[in-house]
Amino acid sequence: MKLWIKIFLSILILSLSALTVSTAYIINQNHITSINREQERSLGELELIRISLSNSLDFSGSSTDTLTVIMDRYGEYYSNRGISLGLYTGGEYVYNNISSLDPDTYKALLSVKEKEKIAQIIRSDSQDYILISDLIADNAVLLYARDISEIYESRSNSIRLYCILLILLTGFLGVFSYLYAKWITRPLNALHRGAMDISSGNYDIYLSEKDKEFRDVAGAFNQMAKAVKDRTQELEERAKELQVFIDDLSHEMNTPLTSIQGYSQFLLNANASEEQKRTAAQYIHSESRRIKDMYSKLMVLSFAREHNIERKMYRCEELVEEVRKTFHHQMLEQNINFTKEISADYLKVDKTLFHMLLSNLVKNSLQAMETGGSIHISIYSQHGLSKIMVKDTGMGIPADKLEQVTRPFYRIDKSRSRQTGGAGLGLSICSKIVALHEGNMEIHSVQGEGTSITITLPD
Amino acid sequence: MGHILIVDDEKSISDLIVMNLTMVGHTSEQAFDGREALEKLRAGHFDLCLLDIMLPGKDGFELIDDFKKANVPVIYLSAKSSLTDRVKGLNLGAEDYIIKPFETLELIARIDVVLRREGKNKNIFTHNKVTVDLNKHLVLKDNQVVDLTSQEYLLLEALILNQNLALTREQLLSIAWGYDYSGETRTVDMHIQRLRKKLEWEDIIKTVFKFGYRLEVH
Repeated sequence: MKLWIKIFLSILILSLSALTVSTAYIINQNHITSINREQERSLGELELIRISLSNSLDFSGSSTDTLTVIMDRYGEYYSNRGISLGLYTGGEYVYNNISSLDPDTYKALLSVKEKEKIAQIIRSDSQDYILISDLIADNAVLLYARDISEIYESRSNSIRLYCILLILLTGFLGVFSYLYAKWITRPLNALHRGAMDISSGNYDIYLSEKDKEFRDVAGAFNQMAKAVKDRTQELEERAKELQVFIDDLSHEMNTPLTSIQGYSQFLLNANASEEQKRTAAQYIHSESRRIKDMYSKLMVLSFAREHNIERKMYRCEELVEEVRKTFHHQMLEQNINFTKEISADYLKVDKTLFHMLLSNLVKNSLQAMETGGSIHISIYSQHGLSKIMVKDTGMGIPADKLEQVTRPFYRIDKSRSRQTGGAGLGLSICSKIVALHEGNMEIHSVQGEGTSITITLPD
Repeated sequence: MGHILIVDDEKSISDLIVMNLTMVGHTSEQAFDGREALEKLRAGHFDLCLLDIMLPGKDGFELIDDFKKANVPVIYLSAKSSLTDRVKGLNLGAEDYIIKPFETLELIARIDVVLRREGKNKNIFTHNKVTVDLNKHLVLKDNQVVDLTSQEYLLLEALILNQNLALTREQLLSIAWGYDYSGETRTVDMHIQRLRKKLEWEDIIKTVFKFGYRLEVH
């Protein structure tokens, strides 16, 4: 059952039953009071009748006829006031004008003893009476009956009136409690709608926080909706990024695989000259090496991701010197002037990864220069941060491509980097390593003049 | 046979195509980017162009208009394998769309289909005293008509179109007589024997050990 229906029904049932019970109580109480009052009055009157009867009658001496005559007079007098009288003596009624009642119904009243009175309410079909018996002399019982139909009638009227009122009240209370139940469960409906929206993929919802009691819940809900939205967006972005990566990767793999497959087929099938066979074999060799390069670089990427970085203090001189040694021959070959300027003593880095980072940067610089030119590495501290800068005088990066250079497989000049054997993963690896060190990498480049890459690391 | 322009920025793939096309008797030229492709198109006359889509400079989708104006049919050769790309390529007016990595024999067969449809293939094959007119289905040896059954002729045609490349018996069977031909590979051997005898090509239709047959023309 819905909450608003429960609230609606509880309000309705509770208020109606409370009303019914209290009204019934009041009507009943009124009724009892009225009856009591009538009884008091009747007792008083009976007493009066008794005294005046005792004065004017001698029960033992008078004949039955005399009694009847006198009683008749009394009876007539009182019947105008709604009172009937009866006198029972010697085993029979000498007088009885309680005509509308069967004498059997008030037989019990005749057994009244001296100095007591028996009162009984007897209801016939048409009228209601209060009957009181009194022993006024030996064997003479005076019966007094007062018509109290009015009281019962007024109770019936009250009940009827209440029933009509109840129907009206049910309608009124029904409307009221329906509106109230709706009003009070309104925040729940809002929550419900919000949750449904979220589950159907619409995260742009905001619940009003105006309602005072509801503010906390609405606030929490809004916060949740925002968190869900953010998380979903993040996941979507990551999935998109991954999809781009996979697309790029499959495209990168496609070319060497096509070549290898084609050339090996050529070797198997073609009526080829020795020279053609050699060319085919060379291509198979170089293309498979390309795949291997790509593979090892991807391994580095996943290594950098999986690797628990271990930051220790390393001498800057040592780090730079190792990188210089690695590229010593290539620099000689290309006639590159290598300089360094180190004003910081130590760097707190992961040695394996940092060596990889510097090597990649120097390798990029070397690829950006034909012959001649210079590479400058400087390490220094600034505002408590370590800065590492690699600067070259190479061809530079076009300004519109600066944003994309750290994307996996991105190459500025496809044909050129294939000749130098690049897979387009170098800077992607670098940015990952820097991210693992919680640092950042800035690329500044002027096309035709050179590139400088600055890495900032927190201590 | 046709003169074909190969536009692909991957030198290894471009060279591979050149080597294969040369084998089967086509001639070709290479261009490695959009600009070079347009220069070559203006300078020479081509029967067909194999066009990559992702090219430095102008891409393959942009280039096709120039080829259509020059009346050179285009076959796209691309690693872009999605349906939208293929539909776009064909809608732009390409004769065919081949996805990389491709099979050499398939490439040759599709090139042949396009050349034949455009009527741009050279149809006379001459080698070692034998002349085959691929249009008239006529085979002459020493200027005498050689009487070949239609099955033998179709097999000879398959060998000529893939000359210098070895074909397995299954490949020969399906290229010559169609995929639904329900003969056995033994039938291929039988017909090869008859062709060798009728054309006196014992040394020219070579048996490639554990593979199949090859028509050697060098």
